[in-house]
Amino acid sequence: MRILAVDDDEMILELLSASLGAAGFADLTVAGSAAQALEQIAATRIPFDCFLLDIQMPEVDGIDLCRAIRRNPVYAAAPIVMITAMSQKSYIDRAFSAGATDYVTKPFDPVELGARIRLASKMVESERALTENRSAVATLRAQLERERFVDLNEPISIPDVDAVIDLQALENYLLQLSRSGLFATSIFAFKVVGIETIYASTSPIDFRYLLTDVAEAVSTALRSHERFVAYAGNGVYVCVAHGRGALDLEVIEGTANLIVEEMALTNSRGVPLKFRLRVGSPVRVGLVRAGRGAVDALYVAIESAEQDAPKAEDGRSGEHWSQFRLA
Amino acid sequence: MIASRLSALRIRFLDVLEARMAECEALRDRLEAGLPEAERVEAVRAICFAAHKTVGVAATLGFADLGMLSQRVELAVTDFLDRSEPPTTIRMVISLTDDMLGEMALILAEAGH
Repeated sequence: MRILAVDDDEMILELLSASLGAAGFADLTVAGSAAQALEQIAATRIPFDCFLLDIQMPEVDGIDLCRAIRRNPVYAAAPIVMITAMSQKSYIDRAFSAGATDYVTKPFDPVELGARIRLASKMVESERALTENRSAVATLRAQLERERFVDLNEPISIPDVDAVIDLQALENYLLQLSRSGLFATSIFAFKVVGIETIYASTSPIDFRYLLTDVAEAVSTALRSHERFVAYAGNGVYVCVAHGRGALDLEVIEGTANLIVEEMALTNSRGVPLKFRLRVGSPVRVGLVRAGRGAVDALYVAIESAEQDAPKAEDGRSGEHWSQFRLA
Repeated sequence: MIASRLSALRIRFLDVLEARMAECEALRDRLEAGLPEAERVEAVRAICFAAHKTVGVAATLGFADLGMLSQRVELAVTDFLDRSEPPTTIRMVISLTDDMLGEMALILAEAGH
């Protein structure tokens, strides 16, 4: 795996080289600034697989560099790990909003760093395997359909929607927040009622468009809160929201459903699609749960949404597919 | 192999630490002597930068206490510059810098510098 590490401190770069080398990741390129990093990225013939970025650097910081890397379509899904001494929550939030997928604070434990990079490496290998399995003989549409295929239960990536990140990134975010950072944090999940029916009668591309539109509705309904949203599969969107006042989930659920209604989603024959989003019971974290406990709360919230949401009133699949807006 | 590389890095770090300590001592003395606002801000930013660089490396190389003390300096300076509530005074910044400098001196003395 090709890794690019960026830090203005030469010693940190040497530490990274020693730690990663010991963990079996010898293909490491280093850069001493964001500008140098962007030059390396532009010049390389073989794309990098993973990035390690320091946050506090002169001129252009690591968060802006992360954003710049994400703008390059080649690196839209590449793992980006922030390695920094800035442990304050605001920096963590900004990093994940900019597209970081993991976060390690200095001083870093070389063994833990190796474990994080191995996790990133698995993401890279999984993506590569999917790419290599595509048939070269298929028609362009069949190829597109195959590339876009998604299992109902798969927590797929939903790019380009504000505050929506991958489920794995959300787990990493919760793991990094300290107990104080989790104070006044709620975790809850939305469920698309009748998702199984929609999935059964929808093309893969249209199903992805639906998931993107619903993600947008959920994120917009929560826009007055500090939040992150992730798609967990099976029509469930899990949300982490911060705020001292109690979240009014009834209002938020209603708002999300209004937004879906305003989107006026239809099937390809123009028949309006009617479905509802249902919110499960929230889980408060911080004082009671932190670290791995906060991640467990994520899955409690997901299960709550699955259990609380009623089945679709109409079990028929014929009329419940839609033509969705292009992302 | 990592142990030998870390060992070499420790030696380099001690050299850097000596220079960094001298720099921070000079800045600290200037702050205590009293400076116009603009120069005071510049001096605390420089101390903060030195502390930040130390935090990043110290604990990983086995100097956990220095890492902790440097982090306190960094946080205090950040609060001072942000005018946070409750207010962090320049006296608090100097006091925490002294703690960090004390630890640096101890490390260097033990290493024979």
